[in-house]
Amino acid sequence: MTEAGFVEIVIDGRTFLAREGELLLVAAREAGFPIPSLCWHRKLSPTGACRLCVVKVEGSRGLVTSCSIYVKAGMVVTAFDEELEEARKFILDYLLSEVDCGTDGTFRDEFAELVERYGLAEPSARRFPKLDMAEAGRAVDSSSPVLTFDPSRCVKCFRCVKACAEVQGKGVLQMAERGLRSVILAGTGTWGASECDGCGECIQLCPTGAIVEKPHRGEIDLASVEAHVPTTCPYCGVGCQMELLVQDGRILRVEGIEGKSPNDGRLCVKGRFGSDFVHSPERLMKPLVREEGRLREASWDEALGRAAEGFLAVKGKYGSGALAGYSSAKCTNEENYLFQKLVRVSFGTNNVDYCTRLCHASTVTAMLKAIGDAAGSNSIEDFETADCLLVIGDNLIETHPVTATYVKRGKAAGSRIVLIDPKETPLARYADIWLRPRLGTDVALLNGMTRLVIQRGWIDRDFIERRVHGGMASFAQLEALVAAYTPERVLGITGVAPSDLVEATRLYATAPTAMIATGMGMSQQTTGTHGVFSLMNLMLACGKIGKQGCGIDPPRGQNNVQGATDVGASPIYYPGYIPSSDAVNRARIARLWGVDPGELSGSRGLTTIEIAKAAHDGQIKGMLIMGENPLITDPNSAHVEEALRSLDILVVQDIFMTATAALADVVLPAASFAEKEGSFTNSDRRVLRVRRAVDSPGEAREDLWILQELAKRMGRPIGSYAGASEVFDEIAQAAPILGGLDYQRLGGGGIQWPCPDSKHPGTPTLFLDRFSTEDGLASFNPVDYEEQSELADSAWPFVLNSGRILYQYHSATMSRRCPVLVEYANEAYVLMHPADAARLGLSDGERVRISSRRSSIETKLRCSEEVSAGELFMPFHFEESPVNRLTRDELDPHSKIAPFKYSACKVERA
Amino acid sequence: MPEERRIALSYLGRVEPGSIDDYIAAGGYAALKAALARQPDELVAELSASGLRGRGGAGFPTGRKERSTAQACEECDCYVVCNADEGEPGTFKDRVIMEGEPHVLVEGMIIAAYAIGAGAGYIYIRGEYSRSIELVGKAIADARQGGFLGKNLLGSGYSFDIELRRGAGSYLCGEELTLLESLEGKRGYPRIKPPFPAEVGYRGTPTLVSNVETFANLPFIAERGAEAYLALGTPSSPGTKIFCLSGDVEKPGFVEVEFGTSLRSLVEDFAGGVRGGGRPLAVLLGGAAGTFVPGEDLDLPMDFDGLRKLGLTLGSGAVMVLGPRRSLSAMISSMMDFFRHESCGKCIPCRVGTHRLARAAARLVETPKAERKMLLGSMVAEARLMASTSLCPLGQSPVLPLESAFARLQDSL
Ligand SMILES: Cc1cc2nc3c(=O)[nH]c(=O)nc-3n(C[C@H](O)[C@H](O)[C@H](O)COP(=O)(O)O)c2cc1C
Ligand code: SF4
Ligand code: SF4
Ligand code: SF4
Ligand code: FES
Repeated sequence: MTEAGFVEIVIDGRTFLAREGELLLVAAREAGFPIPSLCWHRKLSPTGACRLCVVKVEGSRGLVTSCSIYVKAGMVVTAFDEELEEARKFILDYLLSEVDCGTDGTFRDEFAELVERYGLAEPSARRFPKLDMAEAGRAVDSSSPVLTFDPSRCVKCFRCVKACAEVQGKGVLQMAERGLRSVILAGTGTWGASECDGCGECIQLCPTGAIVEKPHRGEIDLASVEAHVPTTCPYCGVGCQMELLVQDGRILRVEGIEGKSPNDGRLCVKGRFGSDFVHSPERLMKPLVREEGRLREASWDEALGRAAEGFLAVKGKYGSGALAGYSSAKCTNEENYLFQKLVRVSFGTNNVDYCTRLCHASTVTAMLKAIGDAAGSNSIEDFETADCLLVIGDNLIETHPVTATYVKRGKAAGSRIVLIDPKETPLARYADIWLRPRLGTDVALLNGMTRLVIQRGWIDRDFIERRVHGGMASFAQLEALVAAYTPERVLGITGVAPSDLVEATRLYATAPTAMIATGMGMSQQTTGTHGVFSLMNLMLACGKIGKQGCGIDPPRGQNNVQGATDVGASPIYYPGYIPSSDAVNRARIARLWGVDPGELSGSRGLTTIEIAKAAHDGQIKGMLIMGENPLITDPNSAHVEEALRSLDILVVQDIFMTATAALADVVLPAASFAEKEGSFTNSDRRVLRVRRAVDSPGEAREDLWILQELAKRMGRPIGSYAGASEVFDEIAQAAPILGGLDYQRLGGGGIQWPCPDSKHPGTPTLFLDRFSTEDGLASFNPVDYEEQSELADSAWPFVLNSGRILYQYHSATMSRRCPVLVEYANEAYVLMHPADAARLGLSDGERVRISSRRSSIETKLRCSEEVSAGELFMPFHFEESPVNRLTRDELDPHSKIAPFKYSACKVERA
Repeated sequence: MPEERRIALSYLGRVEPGSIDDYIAAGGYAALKAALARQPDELVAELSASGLRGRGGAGFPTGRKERSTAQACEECDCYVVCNADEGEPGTFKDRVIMEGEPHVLVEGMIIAAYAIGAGAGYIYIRGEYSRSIELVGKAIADARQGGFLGKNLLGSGYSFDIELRRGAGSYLCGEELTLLESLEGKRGYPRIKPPFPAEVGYRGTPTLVSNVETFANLPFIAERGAEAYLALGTPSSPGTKIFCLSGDVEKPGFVEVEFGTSLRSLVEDFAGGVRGGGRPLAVLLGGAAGTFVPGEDLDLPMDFDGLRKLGLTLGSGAVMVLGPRRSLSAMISSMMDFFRHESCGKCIPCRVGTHRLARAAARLVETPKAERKMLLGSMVAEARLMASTSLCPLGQSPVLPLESAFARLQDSL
C-alpha cells in the first residue's frame, strides 16, 4: 500500500494501483483497459443488463460483470482473452438480431460503435439472422414535445428508466412486458400523456438512437457541429452547466455537462429546450429612437447620443437624484458591475436596483440582520444529503427543477421533507408532512413551532450560548414572545392542526442535519421580513446552521440575482456588500475607479418600487433599464406604466421589444447570454462562466459595450475594457469576497465565494466558524404575527396568490419564444377550488374577470384542489392576463418588497 | 424396497391442518421450546453440524447461510424469508406441507429466526396456491394467538412475527433475489449477484431465504440434534428428501425418503413403474431447469453431489417420467417454450437466447431425424454461451436439459 485508499490489483498481468471500493469497470478503464459496456452509466446504479463488461476474477466462479463489483486489494482480473472477447461478440451479435443500429448523424450510437469495434458492421459477419419482431408490436412514439422513442433501436439497457428515476427523481418510465416483448413505457401509455416534464435526462443518457431529441432533428448533423460551447443556463438561479452545440451559427442542441457542479449533467426543460429565443426573428436588431410618438430605427451613434443627451438634460435640470437605473438579474456580473458604476459615476446617484427587490429583498434584509449574509449558506448538494429539509413557500419542483432533483434523491435515500405551503405544489407528494397554513400567516405558524421546540427541549443550548449574540439571555426574550403561540392559537390563525405542527417541528428539530429552503411565498408579503425573521429564530433555536449539512438557502429565481447584488447593483452597497454610506468605503472605491470621492453620492439610493413611485410623483425624470420588464413583473403595474410614461427620458436595453421597451424613448438592442462572455453567480454563490457561442443578430451589441459608450457620451467615462475578463478583474479588486477569482480559475469550473485570494479554494458552507455579522454572532429577532392590511371581505372575498410554473419564466420574453416551452404551456389561467367555483356557478375552462381594488383582468378558470377554498392562484408569466395589475405596491417597511402573494379579489363571469 | 422416512412430513396425516391444538398434541412446538432454551449461536452451530442442504433446488448448505446472515446482521434487523413460490414444473412438495401441516413451516421459521436473531419474517406464497395461503395464514394467526409468535414469544424475551405475501405469478419470482425485489413491491427483475441475500437482502439488510421444505426440517434437528439427522441419508446429503413423482407413471404423487435412495426405486417402487408398462424413455430430474436421465440408467443414488458428479441435478426433487412412446424433441420444445415465456428480458443473452432456443426446438420436432443431432448440438453450444453470460440462473438453466439430452439421449431424439 502506498497512497491511502489505493490498493494493488492485477489486470491481464499488469499490476497497478486502484482506488479501493472503486467499480472495477471504472478502475480498469482508467488504467487503459477498454472494457465495453452499454447499460452502465456513471450516474446510475449498476444494472447488469447488457453483460458486455464481463471479466474473470480469480476466486469467483464463471464470468462476472465488472460494472457490479468493486476493487479489492489483491484482486486478479482477466479483462481481455479469447473467451471473453468471444462472449462479448456473441452478445453484440445477439443484440443485432433484435435491435437496429447505426446513426443518421443526429445522435451518438454507442451500440453501433461497439458493433464496429467487434467487426460486426458488415451483415455478412453476423451469425444470427434478424428476429421477427412484429409480434412485439413496436410503434414509434412521437407524442412528446421533446423526444421521439423508437423501440426498434432500444437495447433495453434501462438507462432511461434509471435516468428518470434515480437521477431526476421522477420515475415516469418503466420497462413493461417481459422477454423479447420488453418495451419502455412512459406512464401508462404514450409519452405525451405521461407525467414526463421534458427534462431530457433520458435523451442524454440513452446510448442508442432509441430516445432522440425532437427539436431541430432535421437540421442537426453532429459531424457538422462547429462548436460545443460550455456555458451557464440563462434561466433560474441553479446555474446549470450546459454545452451549446452550434451549427451554421445557430444553437441546435443543448446538453448538460456531466461531472460538473452544480448540476452534474442534469437540466430541466427550460435549460435544455429554452435557447431558441436566441434566434428568434423578433430579436431587436437595430437601435430605435422615438420620434413624433413612434419608435423608428436609428444608428447606434444617434441612439446613444439621444440617450446621453436626455440623461444630461435631466441631470442639468433636476440634479443627479432625478436619475435612476434598473439593473438586471438576467445580465452578467460584469454588466451589472458596469451598470452600477455608470449609475454611480455617470449619473452620480445611488438610485440603482433591480428585481431582487421583487423576490428576496425581505429574505435578504432578515438574513443580513440575523446572520450577516444573505446568500445561500450551503451547497446544492446538501439538499440531497441533509437528514431533513424544510421547504417553506417555495415551489421548488417547478421553479428550481434541478435543485429539486437533489431533494428527491435525498428523499429516496431516506431523508425527510417538511413542506409548508398554502398551495399544493408538486413537492407535496414527496413530503413526509405538509402543513397548509392560510396565506399570510407564516409568522404565527413559525412562532408556534419555535414554542414547541422550547417546550419539548429540542433547542440547542450549546449553540445558542456559543454562537448567538446575548446567548440564553437573548433567547429568553424570544421564549417570552413565542409563549403566546400555543397550538390552539396557531390553529386559529393558520388552520394547521396541532398534531401536524408537532410532527413537522419534531422532524426538523430532531434531525441530525437539516436544511431550509425558503422562497417567494415567504418573502413576497408585506410581512416578508418578519416571516424570515421568525424562520431564522426557529433555525437558530435548533442550532441548525453553522455546521456541515445545516443551513438556509433561498433559491434564487433568476440566473444572476445573486451576482447582481454581489457586484453592487444595489442602492446601499458597493460591490461585495460594502455599504456605500461609509466615507472610507467611498474613498476606496473612488480610488479604484479613478474618480474624486466627492463625486460619489453618499446618500442611500432608492429601491425598485421606490423608484417607480418617485417617478410617478415626478421626482425621478430619467431612467435606464437594462434587461428588465417592470411593466409586467412589478406590482400594481398600471401605476408603473403611468410612472414610466411621465419620465423625460426612458432608455431600455433589451433583446426583445418588451412591454417596457415599447414605452421607451430609446431602445438599445442587446446581446443574449449566448452572444457574450461573462459570468453568473448562482444560488449557492458559485461564480460560473458564460461564453459566447454565436454572433448577435443584426446590430445588437453587448451590454458592456453599450454601457461604456453611454458613459463616454455623458462625459463621465467608466473605463475602457478589452473584454469581460478585464471587467471581472476590476470586480475582484472592488469586492473582497471575489478577490481570489479570475477567468483563468473559473475556466476549470465554478467556485463558491467567499474566495478572498488566489490560493483559496472557495467556500461551500458559510458560517462554520463565525457568522458574517460584526461580532461574528447570529441574533434572534423575535417578531409578532400581524394581520394583513388588506384582508378578504364580503366585497373582495378571495385571496389571490401568484407565482411561476415550470415551463415559463418570468415575463416569458425568452421562454415564450421557444416552441417546446410554448407547446407545454402557453395559456394564462387562474386556479380556484372546485367548491368555490360551484358556489359561484362557474365551470372549468370558462373566461372569468378577476378584480382587485386596483384593476381587473380576464383569464381562464381552472378548477383545482391545488388551492384551498377562498384562495386563488395565477401564474404571472402571461402578458395577456397580467396578474400584477391586481397586486399591491404597499411595501414591507423593512425590505420594501411588495406582497405579490396576497391580494384581496373578486371573481365573476367575463 | 426402501422405506418411506418422514421428517419434513412427520405430521402429515396425523394432524388436522387447520388445528394448532392437534399440532401441539402431536408434539408440535416442542422443538421450538427446545430451541429457545439454547443460545442462538449454539443453535446455528447445531444446524450447521447437521449438514442440512437447501431444498429449493440449489442444495446450498443451510447452516452456512444462517451463519453468514447472523454474522452480517449483528447490528441490524435481519429477516427470514420463506420461499413458497414453488414454480418449478413438476414440483408440488411445498404445497403438501403447507396444506397438510402448515405449523411445521411456521415452527421451522421461528427456529431459524431465533437462531439468526431476525425480527420479522415473510412467507412468499405462489399466488395460485389459495388453499396454502388460507391454511398458512390461519397457522400464523393461531401461532400468534398461542404466543408462539409476536412480542416476547413463549416468554423467551425474543420477539418475532411472520407476514404472508402472495407471489406475483412468475417463475422467476421464485429465484431468491427476484423474490426479494418482488417482496419490496418492485417489479420482479433479478438482482445482480453478489451480493447474496445473506449480505444484502430484503430492504438492503441481511436476509435468510430458504425453501418451505428446508424450514420443515428444522424442528427435527432442533429437537433431536445434528447427530440424529446425520444418521439419515448420505454423508454429502444428510436427511430425507421429498420427491415429486409425475409423468407417465402408475402412481403419481410424493414420497419422502432418505437421500441416496435409488432413482429406480422411486420410479418402480414408489411410483409403481411406467404407466402401461415398459421401460421409460427418460426421466427428467429437477423440472425445467433439470436434466434428463436415460430410461436404462435408473440405478442412481439420489443425492446432491452424486448426481452432480454425473452432470445431473437433483434440483427441487421433481422426478418426471417420460414413457416409451413420448417424443423427447417435443419435450425439449415445450421446455424451451417455458423458458422463453419466463425470461424476464432484462439481459441480452437470455432475452434473445431463450427466444432463439424455443424457435430451434420447435424446428427440432419437424426436422428429419438425421439432422436433429446437429441441430441439438448447435443449440447446446448457444445455450452454453448464454449460460456463461446471463445475469441470473434462469438464463443459465436451458443448457442443463439440452446438454444432458445431447450427451445421453442423442439416439432417442
Ligand atoms: C428461476 C428460478 C426459480 C426458482 N424458484 C424457486 C421456487 O419456486 N421455490 C424455491 O424454494 N426456490 C426456488 N429457486 C431457488 C431459490 O433461488 C433459492 O435458491 C432458494 O429459495 C433457497 O432456499 P433453500 O436454500 O432452502 O433451497 C428458484 C431459482 C431459480 C433460478
Ligand atoms: S424527459 Fe425527463 S421526465 Fe421525461 S421521461 Fe425523460 S427523464 Fe423522465
Ligand atoms: S430507450 Fe435507450 S436508454 Fe432506454 S432502455 Fe432503450 S436503449 Fe436504453
Ligand atoms: S437470465 Fe433471463 S431471466 Fe435472468 S435476468 Fe437475464 S433475461 Fe432475465
Ligand atoms: S455494463 Fe455491466 S452489464 Fe452492462
